[in-house]
Amino acid sequence: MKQFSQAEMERQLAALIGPVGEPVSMAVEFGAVRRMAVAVDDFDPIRYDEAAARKRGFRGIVAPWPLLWSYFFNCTEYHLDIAFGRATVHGQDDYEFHEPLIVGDVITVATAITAARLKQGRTGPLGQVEAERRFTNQFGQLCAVLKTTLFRR
Amino acid sequence: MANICFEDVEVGQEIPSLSKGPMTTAHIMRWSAAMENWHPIHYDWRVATGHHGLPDVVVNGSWKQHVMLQLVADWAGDSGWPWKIRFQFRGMNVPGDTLRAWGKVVAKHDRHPFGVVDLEIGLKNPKGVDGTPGTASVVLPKRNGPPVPYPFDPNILGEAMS
Repeated sequence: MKQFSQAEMERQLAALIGPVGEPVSMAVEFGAVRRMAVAVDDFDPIRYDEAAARKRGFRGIVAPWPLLWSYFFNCTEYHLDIAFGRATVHGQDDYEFHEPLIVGDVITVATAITAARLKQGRTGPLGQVEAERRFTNQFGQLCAVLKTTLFRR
Repeated sequence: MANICFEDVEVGQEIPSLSKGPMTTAHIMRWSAAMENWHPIHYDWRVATGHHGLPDVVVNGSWKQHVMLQLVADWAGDSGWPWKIRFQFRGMNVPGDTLRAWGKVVAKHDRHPFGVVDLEIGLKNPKGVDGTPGTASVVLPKRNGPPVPYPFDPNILGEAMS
């Protein structure tokens, strides 16, 4: 494996910072919401019964929050161009929740690398990369912010 | 769903736990299908154990996140708002594991006319190992106070929190 100096590794990481691609949009589908709720035995009626959801004050059927990840897998998958190290490990997720995802909404996700730094790990240099995804709906309301911390070692 | 007020909560209090499992490959595949996440470590035993050196196919991290969100949302009730949640991925879970999501109140913040409660949360396997430790912050109404607004706007909590 090619060896890189600390300065080269820091340059590679710094080059990652900034927006990742263009914002992309995707609809919140009833089938997707229902499948996700059933997959974790989440039988809260707000997941499949519109009347029950409205009675609880929501605009419609409410998606489980991890549906946010569907937008990651379908719209914003990207390859981090890091030449050093052998593997990228998913270390931490931070969610902030605002307006729920409602069936029928069109969600736009904008992705950016907000921080990238070189740290010293137990076994050598460790790249720490923070990606932020901001999810908004068709009304311009912020639905959620998902920050993901990745480690390159 | 029970509704709780800020005044009802005490630091050190444990919230009702939530158990799932024993996990099977069916659980993992149902979640992979729901997520449209087709990484073979979640369904192909040979790839998971051979190429990736894992002990078995592994439970999806986002599945574990959902369970912990369910734990916090169930406790917060209709009147509370699970605002922030953070998870670290420190350990894997495999078929056969029964997982217990737990939470404990570690701090309270009075942000008149609302309250914010910080929790430690986690997901223990049968050996008591916590592979997904985390924290959560929940906004609660006060007794005789206004409801937490929907949609939630963190500015209602003042600069110190937002």
